[in-house]
Amino acid sequence: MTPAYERSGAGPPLLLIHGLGGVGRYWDALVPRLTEAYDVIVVDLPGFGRSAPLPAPVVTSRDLAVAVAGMLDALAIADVHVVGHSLGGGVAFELGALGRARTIIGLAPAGLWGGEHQATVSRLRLQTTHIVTSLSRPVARPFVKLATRYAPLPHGLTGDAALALYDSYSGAPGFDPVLRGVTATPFTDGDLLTMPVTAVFGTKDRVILSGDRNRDRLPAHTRWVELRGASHNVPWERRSDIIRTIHETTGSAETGVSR
Amino acid sequence: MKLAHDRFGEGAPLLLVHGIGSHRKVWRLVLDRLAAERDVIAIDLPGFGDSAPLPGDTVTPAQLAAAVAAFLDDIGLDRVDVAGNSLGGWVGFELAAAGRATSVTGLGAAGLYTDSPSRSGVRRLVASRRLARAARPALPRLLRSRAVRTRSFRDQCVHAADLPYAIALEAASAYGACPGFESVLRGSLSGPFSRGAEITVPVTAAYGDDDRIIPRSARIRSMLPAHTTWLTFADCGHVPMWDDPDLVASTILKTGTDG
Repeated sequence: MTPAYERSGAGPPLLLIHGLGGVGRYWDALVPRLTEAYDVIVVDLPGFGRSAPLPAPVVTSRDLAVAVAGMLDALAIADVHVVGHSLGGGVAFELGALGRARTIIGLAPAGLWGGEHQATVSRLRLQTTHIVTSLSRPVARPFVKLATRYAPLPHGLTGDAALALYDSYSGAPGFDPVLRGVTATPFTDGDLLTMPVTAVFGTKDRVILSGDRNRDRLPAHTRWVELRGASHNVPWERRSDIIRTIHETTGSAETGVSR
Repeated sequence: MKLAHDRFGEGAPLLLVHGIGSHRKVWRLVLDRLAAERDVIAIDLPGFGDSAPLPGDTVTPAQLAAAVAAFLDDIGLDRVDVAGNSLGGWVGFELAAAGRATSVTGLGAAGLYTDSPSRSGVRRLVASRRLARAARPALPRLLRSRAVRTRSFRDQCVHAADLPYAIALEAASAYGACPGFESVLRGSLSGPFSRGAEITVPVTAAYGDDDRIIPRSARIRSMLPAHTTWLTFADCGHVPMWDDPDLVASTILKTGTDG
């Protein structure tokens, strides 16, 4: 089954991939600033948002990348610029290893684990938050819905998008299988990434700790960007920095795009 | 029955049958040696290479063998020597049991399992199939890298690093493109080869000492007749034609003349 996507804008194709427990609408505040320069494709990864889960108890970044490659096939697109946040960054690296990425921008990307696993403390934190939100969901959802309708939301989020994100984090069927697979599988094909690669981390990221930002897992030509004071949600907190980084990275591979 | 095939040389007819996801070009390295002595017919099984698939969700090796027998009828051959790799070896056994073979050489032959076939072997096959499909538009570029060729073909042969670009590209493209993979895999998992007792012609069953697809537990000797010659190819993998063409050619030619 092909993952669901939204497509808007004109220019070279740019694929945005959300993180664990996220959904395509995670990118709502960034998309309008990208559609002038790019043909923007926002995907819901299998098991999140509107996309059906992959039928497996353990799902890795590579499995997700293979599914996304199937979506690109359906769109008749050979390769794209890929921006991935967190889990989506790990998927972006795998798409690169499959030869389907023109450039890769990983925003607090997964998969660069120091060892064979993500740090246990991070994994437990993700698992715990998911369990708490999914258990409290029957009681909490009406209140969350009210809040998303009437409370002021940060990061340019609309109520719809915030609710979609809540629903994905608390109820996505893909959450557990993907958490199991992704946290236990490092990216090992760095030598296959011959395209421009940028990796961005916030200095206050508590989800992907400094030990899980192993630079050896990406090729030597990778550009590493550190954003002071930013947390794991760099795409929300540093929108202008991210837009600029996307233009710089894709511009190094694409002529005619120089903003 | 129409099957895509190549035919070279003169002598007693010799039918070559490839494995799952493969195609008739897999014999490229041994063709010259065989065609110097024999009328060699290398076929694409239904659903692979350039041959149209058989209808149905599940296609068993016996059904494939029936299609090959119909093809032999069409080209006016009653009985032929058969050499087959992997699934092709199994098809060869079925042809022999049906009285259409004068001898059979199985190279890394499938089908000789008891209750359940090799899980790890099947997992490797399915994973390679997914990756070959997902990377298909990028294969010409990706496979230029020796590192990629080595990694992609290490499950198939020992000397993956030395596999020529052209052979790697045509093999990976065929693997990703064939419409018959899933239905034939299902058919191969639905039950083992069961007509060993009906084979009266000479049989050779050879396995590479580093065959990662068909483990020892799936090479049950009692499933082939007692007169079978069992061989181990040193320094060879699941596709020994790529590892040691001389040894494979001499083994095939020997099966046809002994006994």
